[in-house]
Amino acid sequence: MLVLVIGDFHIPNRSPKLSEKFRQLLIPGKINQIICLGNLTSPSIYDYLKHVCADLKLVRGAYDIDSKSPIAGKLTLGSFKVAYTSGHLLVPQDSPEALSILARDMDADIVLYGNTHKFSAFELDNCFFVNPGSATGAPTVSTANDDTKITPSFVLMDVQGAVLILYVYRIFDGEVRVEKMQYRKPE
Amino acid sequence: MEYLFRSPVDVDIRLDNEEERSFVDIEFEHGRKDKAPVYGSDESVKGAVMIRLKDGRKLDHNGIKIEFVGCIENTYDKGNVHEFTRSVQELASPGEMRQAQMYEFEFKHVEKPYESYFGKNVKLRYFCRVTVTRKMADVIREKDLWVYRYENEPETSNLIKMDVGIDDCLHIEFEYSKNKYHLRDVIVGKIYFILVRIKVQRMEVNIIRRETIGTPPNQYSNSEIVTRFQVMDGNPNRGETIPLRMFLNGYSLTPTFRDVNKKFNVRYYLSLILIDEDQRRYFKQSEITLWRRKDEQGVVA
Amino acid sequence: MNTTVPVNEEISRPLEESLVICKQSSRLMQKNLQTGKLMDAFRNCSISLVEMRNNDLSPKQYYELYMYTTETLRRLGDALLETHLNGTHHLMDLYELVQYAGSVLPRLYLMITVGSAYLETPKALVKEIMNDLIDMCAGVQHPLRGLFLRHYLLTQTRKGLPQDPDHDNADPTKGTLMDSVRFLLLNFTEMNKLWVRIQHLGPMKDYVRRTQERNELKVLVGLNLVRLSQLNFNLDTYKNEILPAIVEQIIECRDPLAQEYLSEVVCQVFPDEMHLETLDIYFNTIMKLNRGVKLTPLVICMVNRLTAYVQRECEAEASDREGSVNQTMQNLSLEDQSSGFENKICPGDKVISPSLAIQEVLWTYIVDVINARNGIALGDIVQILSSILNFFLQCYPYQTQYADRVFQLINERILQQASFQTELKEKSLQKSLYSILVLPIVSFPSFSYCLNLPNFLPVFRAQPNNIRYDIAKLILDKIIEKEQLISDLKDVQELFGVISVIIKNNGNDTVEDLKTIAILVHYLYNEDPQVQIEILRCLKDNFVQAGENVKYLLPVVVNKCIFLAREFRLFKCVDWAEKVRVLWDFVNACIVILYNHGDSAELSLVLYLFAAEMADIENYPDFAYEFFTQAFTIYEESALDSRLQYQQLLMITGKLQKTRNFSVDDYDTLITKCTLYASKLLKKPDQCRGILHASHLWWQNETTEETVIFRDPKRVLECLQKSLKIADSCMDQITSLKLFINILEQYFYYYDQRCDSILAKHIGGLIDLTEQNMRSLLASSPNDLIANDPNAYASSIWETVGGFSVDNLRNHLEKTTDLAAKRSEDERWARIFST
Repeated sequence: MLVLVIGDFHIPNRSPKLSEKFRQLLIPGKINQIICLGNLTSPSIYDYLKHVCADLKLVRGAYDIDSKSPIAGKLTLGSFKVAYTSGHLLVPQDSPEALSILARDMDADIVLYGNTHKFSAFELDNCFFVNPGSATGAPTVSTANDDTKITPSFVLMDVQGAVLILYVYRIFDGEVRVEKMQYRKPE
Repeated sequence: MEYLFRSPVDVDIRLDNEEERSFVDIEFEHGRKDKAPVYGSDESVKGAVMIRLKDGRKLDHNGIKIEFVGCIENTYDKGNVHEFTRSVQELASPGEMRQAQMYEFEFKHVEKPYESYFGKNVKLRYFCRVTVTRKMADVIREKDLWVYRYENEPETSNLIKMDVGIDDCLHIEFEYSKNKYHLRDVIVGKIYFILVRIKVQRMEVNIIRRETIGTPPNQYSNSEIVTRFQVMDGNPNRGETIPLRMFLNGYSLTPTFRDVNKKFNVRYYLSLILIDEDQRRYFKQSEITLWRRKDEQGVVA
Repeated sequence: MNTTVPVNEEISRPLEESLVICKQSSRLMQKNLQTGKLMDAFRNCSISLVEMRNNDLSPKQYYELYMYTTETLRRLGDALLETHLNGTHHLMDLYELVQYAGSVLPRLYLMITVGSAYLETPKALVKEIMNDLIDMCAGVQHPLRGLFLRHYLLTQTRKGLPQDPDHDNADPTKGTLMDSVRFLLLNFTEMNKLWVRIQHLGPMKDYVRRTQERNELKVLVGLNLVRLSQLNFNLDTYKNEILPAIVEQIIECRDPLAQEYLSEVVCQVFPDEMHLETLDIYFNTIMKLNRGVKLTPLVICMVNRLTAYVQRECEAEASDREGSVNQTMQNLSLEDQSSGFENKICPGDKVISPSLAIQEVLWTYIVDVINARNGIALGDIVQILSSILNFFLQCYPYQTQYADRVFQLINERILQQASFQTELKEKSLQKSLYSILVLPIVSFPSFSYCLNLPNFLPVFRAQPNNIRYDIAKLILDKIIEKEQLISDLKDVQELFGVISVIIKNNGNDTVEDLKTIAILVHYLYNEDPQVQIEILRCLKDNFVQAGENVKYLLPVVVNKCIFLAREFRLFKCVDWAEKVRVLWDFVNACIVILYNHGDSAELSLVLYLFAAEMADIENYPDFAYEFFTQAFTIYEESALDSRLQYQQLLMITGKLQKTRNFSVDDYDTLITKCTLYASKLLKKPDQCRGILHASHLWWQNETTEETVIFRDPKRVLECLQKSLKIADSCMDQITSLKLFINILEQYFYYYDQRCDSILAKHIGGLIDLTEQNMRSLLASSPNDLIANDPNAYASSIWETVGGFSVDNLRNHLEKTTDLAAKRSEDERWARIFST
């Protein structure tokens, strides 16, 4: 079961397009489900994702004006209860504690969130947190102070029972690099 | 006649080196065919006559002779034979033959003024005739030989060039490279179309042989087409030049004969014929002279 | 009466009959060849050939017969070559023998068969036979039969023609390349005459049918030129012998079909290098053609050939030099990014000797052609111009004056010509002009190049609205596709002069294109923020023309401006801080426009928060304050539904909580206001959670940076207590309990954060209270109830999951308390549970 976790496109306001390199990777028929963590903002990207996989779960991000999508969602993958949300409504923002409180509130083993435009994956209080970063590498204020550019990234999750294998796709210097991570559900 | 009275002897005329000579196939009336050895015009005719007795009987005869005859036979006017040359040699005096006998003969540099010719209505023959004179019926045996008269290259042979036409319809100019051709020669020519208003369908060059017998006013002529040769298919535009090339070797041609012994002529003509879409024919004839060149070998006749 | 079927049968019968005869004699011939009866083989072959004189066949049928017969002849030829090589029959003898054939057509077919076999033998008198065959073929003057006969000659001599260019040492009987050239030229001339003649056969009423038949036959004639082109001749030969002879025939035949076809073949088959040196001959020729001949395809054919030639050669050269095409492409695109191109070498100059001045020469001829014919249709002119423009763009992209000449000509000689005005309104012509305008857009590496053509924009502007719209769209797409950066303000202005046609369109159907324009903005970039801000100002001025649709365009400008604030600082231009202040004003102005135009309240609010966030980080607290104030104003003014209102407030809370550079007073004003808004939310759970989140405003997180963080434990406790009060006042037990657990989580958070107002005894009491409520809920609701009050999960993320059960609640409470219990090794945490 391959699940694509992707979000924070910000097309057209912060980024012109999804990299061709990513488009070449995301071939229809290979992915079983897509979870988009908000700021999809472009109907053509929506159509594109639908084309890659019809089973597309959406949540609302700060810039999804007029969107009717919920702000969070939950589903079960293998033996994991997975909650997902854009994350822009968390207070304090980007705080692991706030995420942990959310995880308990939603009774989740895995929480997928976005909004920071930076890939991260960590475990806290028996819960695993994954942020796929921005698919387009859209800039964001929190990086305003340094001039490191945002790395475009997304994540593929492969769940087998109590094991989650995470493939992280990132573009460095115009080339796609893939990283593999594994997380086992605690007993 | 001979088969009624069975000849008591076999008479065989053998010419010297006969096997080594080239032959001309000749055909007589009633379909009899023979092969005639070829002789030059001033060659001696030398050979032997072999007489064998049949059934071992003896033969009484009143003398045996051999003649060399050159004659012109007018087949159109049957029986009109004119001998223009004749030589005789006695082979044996009257007497009795008890066994086969061979007699040699030779007509030294015998005169052969004309070339042999077997035409439609006239023949010019040379033959040796052996006559065994007897009381009852003579035994006569003939053997034809064929004479070629070789000629030297004519001193002059002119280009045939003609400009012919029908007013406002057709205007052509044609030329043949020569007017005199040896028998293995090639006729090369070209036909140049200056004006074409008729719808030409094809163009041919025919070789025509014309025999003329007798002298005026009792003259008789006969023409035959030796060969038809198409040189053009379709209608040319003005300005087109059509090439002509005819090899003569393959056709039964003889040299041109003029006034042979004041008896006959054989002449050749090239006839250029244009045929239009309605099968109308436009033609122009030009005489050519054919001659026999020395180095020629056997000929198909 | 049905007459169609019998007629058809009637037509095909002659062919069938002929084919039957041919097949039979072909079979017999092959048997003869096997048994060595050569004369019989010739005789049987001749029977087939007699059929070639069939007058009753259409060209197509005749072709069929021809194909069959020549196949038979080829077998004969092969067999004869074999008998020659094994010494049985000398081909020269057979060559004489076949000439006794009485009919000219069979004779010539046989002569070609024998002669061509002979040409392939080692001792052949090549020159003599070649000349003889070509001369004798004149005997067939029937056009159809002559064409096929000479075609047979052409195909049979394919291998045997001499290719040796050496004149001095060669065996004179073998012939030279020049003999082959003359042979093919002569055959070409004769075949063309025959082909032309077909047109004039028969009645006028069949004229069209004959033209059609001739069209079917043209390749027979063209093959001569193809064969010629395959010979290995040099330029001198081509220029002095071959081309003049062909040209003479083309002009003299005066036949439009032949002139058009043959000119095109000349253009297609001969090498480009030779065309380059003989353009004068080519163009002078086509200008002498009959009036009825369409020159346009002939001109275009040559221009396109030269274009393709330069491209091909350049690619070949590039791949030789670079090893890989890929790399070249990269290099090219790198070059293209820089704007100066005066010093670059054009592909045309790399391939074609500049001394030929091919651009000039070609242009002169094009103008000549256009001028030479008064009657030349406007559509044709445009097509010709299109091809020459393509040539200039592909081969001389850096010498823009040439491409511009085309536009100049269009501008002056077409658009401004009174006589053309009606024609210009035709759809097809508009389409052609469209494709001309498109050419520089698609072939130049960047749109900026188009601006080097002074006459491009005038021609563009003269087009009707829909055409301009399409072109503008294409420009957009190209810039985005090729990721061309446009960095010059003037270029941006010119660009918007072009694409404003989309912006001003104001229709619903333009929304997609407006979104594309928003994407385009990313490619209008100058690294100097002072220029960049001017570019953005220019964009804003253009975008406001979109009316309602400004909401699709302006947000990207706002975004770009917000990030630009940082650029100014990093770029360190003079008085950057002052310039950023101007920038913030501009941002504000943009959002105001956005807010005032249509239903963009939500978006405007988000953008204000974004601007405020950046202004705070970049340390412009006055602007940050202003932006938060604007956000509050929108929050107040816009009639958002309660759910959205709650979310907006949460966002404001989150952003405010992150700020670092406000004065204490300002910060206090803003967060007090924010908390007040939370307490004024409509629904109790919203109020409760709103205040709960607002508590963080008094307890900013620590960051690694050395900034003052605002903390007020007393107010935190007040917020929590207020939340508890509201939770307690909720009618629905389940809702109330859920809120208690949420509040408990926050207590744990602050306790963990060592907020000194939060005491262990508070938490202990709260745990007891919550557990007690849990128990009583379980007692009253023995079933695994789901909250039935919509308010129960209002403002909760659970709304999306379809509500929660008592079981969920119990679970949540357990997890929360477990977590606290786990930490009880710590003396502080142990204190909670000891009370």
